[in-house]
Amino acid sequence: MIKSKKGGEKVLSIWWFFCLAFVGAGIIIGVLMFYSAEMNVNNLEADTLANRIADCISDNGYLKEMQNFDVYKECKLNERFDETHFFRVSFYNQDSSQKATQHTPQQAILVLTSAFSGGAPREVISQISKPIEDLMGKSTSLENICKAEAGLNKALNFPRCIKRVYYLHYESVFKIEGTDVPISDDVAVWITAVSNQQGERVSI
Amino acid sequence: MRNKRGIARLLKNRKGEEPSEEVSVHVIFIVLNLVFFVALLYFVSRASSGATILEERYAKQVALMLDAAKPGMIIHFDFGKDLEIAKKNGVTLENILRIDNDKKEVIVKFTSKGGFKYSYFSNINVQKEVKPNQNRVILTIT
Repeated sequence: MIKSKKGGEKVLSIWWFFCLAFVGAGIIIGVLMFYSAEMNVNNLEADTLANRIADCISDNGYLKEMQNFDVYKECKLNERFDETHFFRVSFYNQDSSQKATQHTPQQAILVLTSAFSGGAPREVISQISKPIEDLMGKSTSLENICKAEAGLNKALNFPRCIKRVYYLHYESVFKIEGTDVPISDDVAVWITAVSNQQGERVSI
Repeated sequence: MRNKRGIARLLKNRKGEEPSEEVSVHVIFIVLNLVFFVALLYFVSRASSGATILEERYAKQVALMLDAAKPGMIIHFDFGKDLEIAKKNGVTLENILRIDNDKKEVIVKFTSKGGFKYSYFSNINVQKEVKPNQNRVILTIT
């Protein structure tokens, strides 16, 4: 309150209403900014996608057979969403330094030495050292955006990327000249899941 | 009674005459302040319970649930007090939530003008059942 010339209190001061207007405008702008901000659930979506893939490629902690594995069919994923979603599943050795092969080198040596005394044929070696192929979606551009995003502090309207590592046991039977040789190992499964869905308002 | 007397005394000056200019100014000042803060609270409460926000929130919630759902699951979805907002806008419980199994889309509308659309990536079929007496929607995943 400001004193008037006569010394009385000047209640309806212009400055008081200026303060009220200032506070009111601040609250209104804050509320509008808060509620107009996008509710981005892309992180959760990518997380759900990664979990869904991890769930369908494993069975009780064991990696399923990855040869001719149709990830869309097995994981019940819809191919229509390749524009807004992406995933890549890579298989590495347990120490995550090298791509996992169908059969790890140590096991390959064991298999080879037990099966061939005079050295293994070339096709057997190539079969053993063949890496497990990545399972992936079609929109690799989303993955590239994720790599770019990693170098930025804050990126608006960028896809959200999730990376998860799961350790699974791998068991398989390796056939050499009609003989079944069971082999097993642990593999690190790297899953990258990306979501860039925004949703939209529709008039119905 | 005491209160009434107190107010009357406040509005009259020392000589018992009509309210002085000073008192009137105080009353106007308090009333204007109250009007301002009530208007502000009304704005904030309206903004926080806006239909458009609810549409987006529910559409994304349902889509995320369907992404994580597996065949055989049954999801009971309760809109709670938000259902009243839809009813005020002329939208019934049957029309709030639409699920397009072909396009794999969820559309939620709380206003008669339109709604918010969000897709789910899981390849599942969803059957919707409405229980109006329980204010809930039941989604069966197959």
